[in-house]
Amino acid sequence: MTIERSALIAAASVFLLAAASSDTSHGPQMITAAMATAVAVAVATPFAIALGRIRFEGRAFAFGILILASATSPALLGSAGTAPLEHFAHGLALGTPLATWIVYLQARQLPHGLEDAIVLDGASRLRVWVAALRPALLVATPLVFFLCAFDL
Amino acid sequence: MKHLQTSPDTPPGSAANVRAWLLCAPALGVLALLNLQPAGKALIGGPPVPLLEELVNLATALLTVGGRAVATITPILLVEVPLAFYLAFTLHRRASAAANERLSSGILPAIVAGFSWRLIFGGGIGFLQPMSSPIATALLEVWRSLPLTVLLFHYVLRDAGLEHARAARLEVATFAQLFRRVLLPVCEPAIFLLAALRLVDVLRAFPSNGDLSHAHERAAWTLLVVVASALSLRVGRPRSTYE
Repeated sequence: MTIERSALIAAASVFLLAAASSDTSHGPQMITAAMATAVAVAVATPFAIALGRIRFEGRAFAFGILILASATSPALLGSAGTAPLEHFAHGLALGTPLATWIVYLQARQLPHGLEDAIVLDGASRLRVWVAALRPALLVATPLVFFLCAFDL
Repeated sequence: MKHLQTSPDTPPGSAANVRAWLLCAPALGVLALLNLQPAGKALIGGPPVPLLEELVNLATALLTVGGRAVATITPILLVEVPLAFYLAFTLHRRASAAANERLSSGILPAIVAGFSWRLIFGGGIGFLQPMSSPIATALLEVWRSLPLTVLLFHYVLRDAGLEHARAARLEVATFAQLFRRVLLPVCEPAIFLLAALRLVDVLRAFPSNGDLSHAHERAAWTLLVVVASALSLRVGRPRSTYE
């Protein structure tokens, strides 16, 4: 069984667990958690790609912001409130740094020579990144959703 | 060869540099909106706090929490790591390759799950309900997590192989040298991972005190756990003794 299939099964299990354990009053919470997860992963992925694949000017500064945000975001927001916007912001604050770390650690594993070789063979760089980062995304997405949905 | 121009090093001010910052922009925008004052607070309705004050509070919390974490975790790691490593190493060295594979794939995880199930999730044991003696608490913690640690080291040793260790043994290295130069570097990531897990345990054990706000303590813990976890992955490339 590939790691992707295992991650998909884990994601489906988490979602089913979340759905099964929640009563009707938790419905909006699941929706805001799903929205926060989607936004967090969507903004974290390009950030992680930039940090992990490109050595650009100011990278250390961006890295510093990520490290600080990993600590300060949950502190500034405190525990998740009941209002949808509060819950969404809390999920985003927790999920964005976490997803960035997970995807970044995967992104930096791909050797640049191999990436260039695949691009020379005709694949786009985006396709290489999507293929290389799929396992990390499949881990990060259910994890962030789990954290958001259960207010961990 | 135009597509090779986005090599890892980009000159300042180049188009690739701008593209990199464009990739960072959405995440940095979100993080800035949530963190910088007063935008983040206004969004979720909290009172605005000066950023500098926030950073000073965080640094204070980090120092306090860091000292507490080091004082608590060090004795545990000093006992747990050598003991678990010795057990895993002995198991790995004595069992055949096929037996090791069987151990890894089914037997050890089942034993660990059986041992740990009640202990990990039992709220009345270990740090979650500290006993009067810190030594007894530490020993109980070691007992609680030892099977999991042995399993972790077993997987590390299985993946790393013992060729280097055998070669060093042939060159009449003592066990201390073998441990320090060959085995410890291989196990470094696992040790950082253990430290991260222990940090989470210690975090749950100590309620927030009155001196620091709970939010800042939580932030400091989060930072410590994130750094330890990142190190466990960052240090993931074992150093070769012969480099």
